[in-house]
Amino acid sequence: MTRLRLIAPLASALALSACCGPKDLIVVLPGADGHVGGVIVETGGSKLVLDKAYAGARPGSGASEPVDVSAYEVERVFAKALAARPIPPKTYTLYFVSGGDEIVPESRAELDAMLAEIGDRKAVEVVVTGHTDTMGSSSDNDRLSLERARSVEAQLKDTLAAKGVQSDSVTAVGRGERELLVKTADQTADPRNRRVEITVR
Amino acid sequence: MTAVRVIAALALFIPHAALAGEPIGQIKTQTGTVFVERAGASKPVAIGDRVFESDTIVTTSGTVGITFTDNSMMSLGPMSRLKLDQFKFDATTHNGVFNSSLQKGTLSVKSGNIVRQTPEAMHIRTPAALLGVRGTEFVVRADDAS
Repeated sequence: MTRLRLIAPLASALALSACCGPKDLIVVLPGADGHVGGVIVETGGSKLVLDKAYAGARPGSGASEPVDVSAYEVERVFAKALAARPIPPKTYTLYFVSGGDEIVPESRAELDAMLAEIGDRKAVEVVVTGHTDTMGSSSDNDRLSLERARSVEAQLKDTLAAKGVQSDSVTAVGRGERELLVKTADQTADPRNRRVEITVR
Repeated sequence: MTAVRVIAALALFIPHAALAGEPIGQIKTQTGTVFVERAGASKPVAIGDRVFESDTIVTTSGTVGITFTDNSMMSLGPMSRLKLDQFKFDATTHNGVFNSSLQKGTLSVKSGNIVRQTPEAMHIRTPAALLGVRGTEFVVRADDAS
């Protein structure tokens, strides 16, 4: 009788810990491009660095090292959240005839691909981003890249409207010389860096 | 009298503008019923609706996917609550900050230009942990009972 009384609470305590432990879970996934940056998980004074695909943390478990989480568990726990992911943004690059507003013939196909992508999406936004090479001052290049982006935005206005893209969903941005496609020294003219990128998202 | 009217009209507009701010993202996927809690009110949202800083996104049986202006993406499974605490993004420099709280449920994240420019400029808080994001794709489950 005494033994049974002792065992019963012990058994229920074990059942509790098995069914109702902390459910918190963080898992780093392999990126589409193979890149894994990682996540730092701070919990109650301890810090775990998850920097590999399928490295996980279970806050509240007391573990001091990352744990490996199976793709199966990720799918079981996160299937619905993963199924709700938006289509990733897609970027198209256009080049221009030197000094003009006219795109080079090779960029025509990019433009067509961009317009086709718009047709495949719901609730589309379009971001037109201008880039320069490193000739001139960086503030001049900020201005130039924004002007070029606005000019392309204006050229595309009717085409995008015909595709059902609302005007408040189209924006123009100038990145100046911050994002060189080809790394060059300062004050280097390079037509590959003078471009406009159109992101559809 | 005219001046008084103009000032009164301005006073009506300013608090509204301050509350709404610029959109920080747009709902791209949605199934079932999804709500946004904004300025003390809760209303259903659909694909195409904009989201704003300080919004709380709430799912019951449904799911939702959002793309933010820095190209980062978040999606929620059922029975989830996500508060978009702070979002700043400069489209020219890509400097910014993105802080959110997963109060409960499941969340899938792909970081964007804010993290590419400044690793760990994105944080996600859960009831049990604080996540600093270096990139790129990960998932989080938070239990509000823990």
